[in-house]
Amino acid sequence: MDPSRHAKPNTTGAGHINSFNPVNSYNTTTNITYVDEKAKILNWLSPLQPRTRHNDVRARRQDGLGEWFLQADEFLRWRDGGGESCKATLFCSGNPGVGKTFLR
Amino acid sequence: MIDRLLECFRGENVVVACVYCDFQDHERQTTVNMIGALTRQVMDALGVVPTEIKEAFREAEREVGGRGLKVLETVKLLTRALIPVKRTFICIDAVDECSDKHLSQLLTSLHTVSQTSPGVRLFITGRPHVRSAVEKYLPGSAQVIPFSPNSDDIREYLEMRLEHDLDSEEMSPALKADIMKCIPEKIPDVYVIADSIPEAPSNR
Repeated sequence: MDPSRHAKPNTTGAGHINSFNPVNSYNTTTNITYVDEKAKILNWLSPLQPRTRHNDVRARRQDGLGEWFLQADEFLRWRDGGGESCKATLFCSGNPGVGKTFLR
Repeated sequence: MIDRLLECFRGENVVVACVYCDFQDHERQTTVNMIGALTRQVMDALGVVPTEIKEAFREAEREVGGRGLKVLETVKLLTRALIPVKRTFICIDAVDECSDKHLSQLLTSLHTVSQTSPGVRLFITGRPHVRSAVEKYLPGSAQVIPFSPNSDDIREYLEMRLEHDLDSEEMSPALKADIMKCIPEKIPDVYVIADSIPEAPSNR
């Protein structure tokens, strides 16, 4: 924000905007407290960082791998279906190294 | 899988959360931490911490030294975090790498979550021997699909690896052609996609 706006007295029309500055700074303070607590809550919930591992998988995988799986009716029904007619869980079973983790 | 789901439902009220199990990290990979990691991702995606979760945290903090979560509590918090989400995809990779205790606890917890939150879909990968555990702890809810790379997958993978083969002196076009022909024929469902394809054979 242009710092000169702070210097203007609240005598012009623009001053009304400036008069909200204290509100803004109040919000900033509140957000800092909130972010701080949010970070603590996230750490309290779990120290695990699956996104880091996911980024590693993303960097190493080969696009197109297992495309047949992602086009299979069973997969599409699971992805798009709902209600009791469709099972909520898909268990992809395979030996280590067959590419389950690297499905794209 | 995760990115595909995200692309497919971009802009919709859909969250994708994942956990990668790892037998080298048993100490940290407890049920509480794994369910908590899912809750974290749901809250991150929504950008909001529900009041009930804040209150649970503040209450735990008031106890001397702070208090860790228990399994049932963490399941409740995840269920709470999921309320505003229309559809949630929870992906658990390599569930067989959990310790036995946490395997049953995790699956039971996920079952509770999926029973309580109708928009939840679970995608679990694991070795064939955990199938019975998946079917036991997620009764009536699991469909099993055996995964093995098909010949296209194998060919594409080989091409990628051969392209990145730095030992070009050893790797002649004839040898490449031979590898592309022989390996897909000889490998039906084995350790193909992991880093187990040999590099260009040298004169050992």
